[in-house]
Amino acid sequence: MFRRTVLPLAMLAVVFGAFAAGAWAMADGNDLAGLYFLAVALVGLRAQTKLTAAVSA
Amino acid sequence: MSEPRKTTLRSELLELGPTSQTIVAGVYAWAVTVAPVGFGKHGPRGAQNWVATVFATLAFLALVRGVVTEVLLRDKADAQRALEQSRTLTLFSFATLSLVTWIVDTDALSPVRLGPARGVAGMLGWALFAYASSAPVVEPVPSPARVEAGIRARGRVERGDAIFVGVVAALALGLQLVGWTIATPERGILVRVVTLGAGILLLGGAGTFVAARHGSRADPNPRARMRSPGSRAPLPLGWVVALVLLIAAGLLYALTQ
Repeated sequence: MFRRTVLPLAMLAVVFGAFAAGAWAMADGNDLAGLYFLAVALVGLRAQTKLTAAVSA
Repeated sequence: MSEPRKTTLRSELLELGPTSQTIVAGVYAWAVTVAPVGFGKHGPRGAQNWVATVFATLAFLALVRGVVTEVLLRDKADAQRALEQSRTLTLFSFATLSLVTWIVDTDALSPVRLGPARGVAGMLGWALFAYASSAPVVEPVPSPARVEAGIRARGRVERGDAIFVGVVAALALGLQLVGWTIATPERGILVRVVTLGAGILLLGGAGTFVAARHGSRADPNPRARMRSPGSRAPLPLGWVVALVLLIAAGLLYALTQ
């Protein structure tokens, strides 16, 4: 349950938060913070994909 | 014996199917980018540019001509060449008349009048129109229904998928609420592109998760198959570690500033 459901969902929540924070920072004109949060979101998305594939195998 | 079906213009329009994709995308692009230029009052003291109005109307009529030709020709046996010529004519006449509309009223395209949201919507509309025009139209081939022994389920539908996908779709749409009061048009477009891309990536991540819930548990990796049945596969923690390090670096930077 934890590996198959909670972990991927928690990663997805982190990705959503990072995307929202990145968009918010870019809208405020803070490009550095925006790019940082987008990088966090992309790395988080990659981690979520890898984790999901691993735990479903 | 079945009676021949009575066809009306309305039923013909509803049955246009794939051939109407270009027209629908064209009407959308026209409504977002050409109609406001042709029918808006952008001149000095709110005067309307009648030349632009005429060309905007002609651009719409070019689309209407395409629809009417499709309706009239699509059921005829030897009309394939004429249909292709009509589609080409629709593409070029619509694009040319829209271009002339913009040229005769360039003031309407200034950033003061063209908001970032409408700019992005128009860009998407023309991209859709270009895509629909370039792709070949695939007509459904009527074939008799095949009677088979029965349907065998390929997988089990687990509960909660609709709710989960709905929540993620709502979150992806929620991202679109950010950045609608930005004064600079370029930054507004940047934020729209970022939020659109983020929404698509989020839905992709949700799709990966849902597909994994329904996917086969058999591991094609031979090394994994040789593992003892009770043992779990090790988690690929490289990207997770990279994520944690990235977040830690950000926190450290925020604390030291």
